[in-house]
Amino acid sequence: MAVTPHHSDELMQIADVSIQVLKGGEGEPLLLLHGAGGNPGWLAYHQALAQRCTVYAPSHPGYDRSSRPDWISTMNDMAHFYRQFIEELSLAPVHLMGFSMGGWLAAEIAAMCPAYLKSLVLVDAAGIRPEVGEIAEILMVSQDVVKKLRFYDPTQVPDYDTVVNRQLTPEEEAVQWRNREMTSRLCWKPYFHNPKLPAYLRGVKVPALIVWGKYDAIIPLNCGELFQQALSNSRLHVIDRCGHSPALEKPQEFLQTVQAFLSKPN
Amino acid sequence: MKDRVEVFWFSEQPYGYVTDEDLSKYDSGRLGFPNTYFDPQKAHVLYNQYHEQYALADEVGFDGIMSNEHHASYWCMKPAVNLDAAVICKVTKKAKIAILGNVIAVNDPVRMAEEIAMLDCFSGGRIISGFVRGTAVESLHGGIDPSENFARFQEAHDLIIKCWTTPGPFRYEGQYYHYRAVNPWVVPIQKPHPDIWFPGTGSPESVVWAARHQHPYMNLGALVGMTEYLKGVYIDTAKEVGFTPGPEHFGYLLRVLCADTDDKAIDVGRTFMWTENHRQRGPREHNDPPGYQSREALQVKMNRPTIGTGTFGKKMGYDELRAVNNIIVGNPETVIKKLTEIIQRLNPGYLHIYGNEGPMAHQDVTRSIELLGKEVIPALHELELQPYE
Repeated sequence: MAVTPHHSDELMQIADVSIQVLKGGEGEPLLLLHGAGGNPGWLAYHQALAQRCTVYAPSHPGYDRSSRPDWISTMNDMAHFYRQFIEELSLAPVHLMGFSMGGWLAAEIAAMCPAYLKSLVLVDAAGIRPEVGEIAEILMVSQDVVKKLRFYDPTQVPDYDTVVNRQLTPEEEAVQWRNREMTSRLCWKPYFHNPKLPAYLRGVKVPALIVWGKYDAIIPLNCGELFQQALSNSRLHVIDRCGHSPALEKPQEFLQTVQAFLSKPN
Repeated sequence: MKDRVEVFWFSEQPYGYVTDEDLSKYDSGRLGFPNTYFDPQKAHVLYNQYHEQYALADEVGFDGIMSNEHHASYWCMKPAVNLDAAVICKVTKKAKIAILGNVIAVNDPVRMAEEIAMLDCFSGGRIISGFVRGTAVESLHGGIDPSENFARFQEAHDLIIKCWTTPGPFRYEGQYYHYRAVNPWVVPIQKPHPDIWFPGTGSPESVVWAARHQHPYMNLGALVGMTEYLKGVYIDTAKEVGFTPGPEHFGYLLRVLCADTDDKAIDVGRTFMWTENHRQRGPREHNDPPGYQSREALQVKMNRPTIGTGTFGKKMGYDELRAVNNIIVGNPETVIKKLTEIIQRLNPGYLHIYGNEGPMAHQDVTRSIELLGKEVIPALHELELQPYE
């Protein structure tokens, strides 16, 4: 991932993990948790969020250049790691934002240590099994199939060819392969969810914004509705004509909604 | 040192009614191809033909019969190898029975131990117990995260051996298997337990694992050059471990069809190429999901012919495969000559003959078995195997 003047890219030693962290901006700490494919890098929305926050965008243990200790093999393990991450970097109270699989992780962290959070943002988050529809199969299918599922209309994704659809180098392919192995480890079964998560979230009063692409073909909108029911101090914002990745597909509406929330989560 | 080759009969037990046209409609030949194409009445007839072939192989002098297991496979109607082994126990009298093998990472290890023990008792101690990691599809079909396959396999292996050798009750609390009251009643006849074989298609780390445990390694149909490489990995590892490997530690599988004339054999043997384009067709994620195997193992498999057990490989035509003795067809004299070349080059203690395929006619297969048993195998038994350097 390229380092620009806007952010740094460093390996930090946190607990027993050597963790790659992209960091930039100034302001209240905002911890971004990436999804199943690994850290997307420092993109336009990271830069936008960094205008008002110090953005931390780590690669989870087992992804990209981050190491993986044997003890981290479930989403609960990962949440425990991030509790230690927040503590060691003294980030609390932190704004926590998770995308897709990272949204599941964010919800687990919120259930585990709600007092560490200033706010919670879940973006098309995994973690709760839908009552209507299914979480799409993305592990036993080709990446071309996953790309097609991800967006409502790829032509409205700025920089689709350079950000989403570009040809990877052999080294990048090898990193992707390792990332996918870690995702299998975390999300295989139960498939991309924790049946107990709604019960864990009971009583969590952290102000929460749930953002969802209305036509999310990977994690159905019903999951967003279920998160909203589980989190007593939450609201759901649905983005029309949008699929699984609103930060890429509808960046303006995504950023307006999220930034308004972050400036005044209560 | 084992100085004579033993010849085993093997069949995938294909459901030979499936055609290229049927398969072309679906995105993959295994996890995507539905069982609406399976007619159990036809399967009933086929199964019984395959069982007759087993009985005949025993009668005409095959040293053993080998069986295997695959799931979601139109080309292998054996989702439970122990059931097939039970049949072999009853329809044969002398032949060794090589279960090659139980997919122990996706099945309950204690139950595996109990079933194999039953089979050894049924057969009077003729069982050879092979354990496999399975193709990736077996893990996917079994609901297992493929990245756990090898670790589960190793733990299941240790637990099964413990069931056979440690009187219960005992506890077993591993990473994947947790039992607090293991007390199997049935144990095998053979002591300390049936021989354990480890078959593979090409993963070098699997070969290393087999050698470290001193389990004989059976290579399933790689080209001869690749097989020699993997055999070399076994020999080198054996030296590190501290034992001298010999032919008794190595076996090789290849497709063989014998007929009264070369022309007839070439014609019948063409069926070995049945649905060649569909066996491994599907997303890469089915045969090589992230975490299942190393990149080096993948490279080895890419250099193996495609057909056989439905994994990776390179496409080679029928004539090409015959030319390199990966498929051997001919009259008894031709088959003896070609198998002798293979045996002299590879020195395997065990030669597994993959003897039928697809819609190959039952009478052509039984004739092949007769000729192999009565003419070919006696000639192969005359060959003297050499020690490994």
